[in-house]
Amino acid sequence: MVAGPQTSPSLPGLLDLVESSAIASIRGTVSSILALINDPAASPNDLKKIIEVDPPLVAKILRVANSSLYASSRTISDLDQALIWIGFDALKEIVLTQKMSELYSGGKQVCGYSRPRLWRHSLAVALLAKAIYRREFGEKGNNAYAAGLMHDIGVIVEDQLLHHSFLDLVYQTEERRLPLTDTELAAFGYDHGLVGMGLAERWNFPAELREGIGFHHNPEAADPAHRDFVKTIFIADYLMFEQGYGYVDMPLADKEVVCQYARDLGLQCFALQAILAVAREEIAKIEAKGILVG
Amino acid sequence: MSRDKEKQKERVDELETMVRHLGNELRLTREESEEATHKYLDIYFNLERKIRQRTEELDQANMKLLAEIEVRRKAEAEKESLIQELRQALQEVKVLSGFLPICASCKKIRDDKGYWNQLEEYISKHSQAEFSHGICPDCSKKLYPEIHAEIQRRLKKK
Repeated sequence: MVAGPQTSPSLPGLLDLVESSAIASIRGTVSSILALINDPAASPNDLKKIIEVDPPLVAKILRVANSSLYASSRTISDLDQALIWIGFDALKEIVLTQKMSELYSGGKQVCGYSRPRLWRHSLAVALLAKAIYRREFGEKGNNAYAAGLMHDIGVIVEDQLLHHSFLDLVYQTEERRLPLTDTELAAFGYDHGLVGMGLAERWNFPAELREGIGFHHNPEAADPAHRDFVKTIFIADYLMFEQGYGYVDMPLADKEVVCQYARDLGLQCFALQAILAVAREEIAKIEAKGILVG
Repeated sequence: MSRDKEKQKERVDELETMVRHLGNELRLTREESEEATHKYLDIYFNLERKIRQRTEELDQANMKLLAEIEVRRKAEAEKESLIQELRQALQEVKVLSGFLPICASCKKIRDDKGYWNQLEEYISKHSQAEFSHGICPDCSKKLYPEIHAEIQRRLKKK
């Protein structure tokens, strides 16, 4: 049975709960990395300072850096070497990915949902959004990667803090063939986009990222300055669900909406297909190396 | 437009897109590579600068240590010299405080080499004492009886 709004905390109440939960443990590192991504003057030393204080994170980074995904002719044994051989931008992404992955362990599978599936979806959206930015727009797309990775952070908050109600929702969503956002609004009075955006505001994420997280199901509601960015996240989210990288079996948005957003961004269908193929290849590589979850 | 031509145009569009995608990837990869080189050089030169700075600090610390060692060495030498002097003085004290062979008649003292020395000479040599010569009343009576008598007479008048 779906828990009613009266039994769930309000959105500010839920966000307060986050601050005293294990989710808050990633706040410092994630906020600092996002600030670095958006600071053109940031130096490798700034990145090192963020990582060094977290020895388990250093170990994870070195494990990923030494995997054949970043095949190097030598063993990478410290952060300086990782910076040189992997690169500043890639290392920022690895740090963000590894830190975020900490939230997606444990839990149990209910219907088609599980935390590892949600994580796989987030990573897939991140890779596709970044590939669209790089290949189509000729930009690095670091924020697109971050937004892709974090667009469903509201889902993991609900899963961790409103666990039983959330699993009920998943069941209802699949049973009644409804979009997850509809069942969330009916049960809690807010959806995971609003939860994610509230968290992004409290944790001082850059505006573009806040909008990407908050409006990834409704780009038209985003600030016009960030609307194209949000549409890109929407398209990446949609396509990855369509390609089997979803986390709940639910009806997708009208395909025509996606096509319209693609036209708004000047993306042609075959261009998207080509980029999708690149992203899928990359996900397959990551999955094959067994480093999907840190 | 015939169907073949349409297909051909689509294929050209696709190829153009692929070329554009690869062109963008290549440009970004080049930029990232250049950026990585700059970052690498930054790290390298920063490290060089740190090594130079640390070497200078170590040199300065080394100089300070050498100066301190010299000061301590001098202090040690002074201390050693003082100890030596004190030992010498102690030795002399021991010589003057031990048994002295003295002539029962002329009062000369025999040293450790067997020579007989005047009492004043021997004590002056082996201690800080100095002698100022005078004459006692008994000796003046014995050696200069007239002068002694005159002195006694004058003292009585007073």
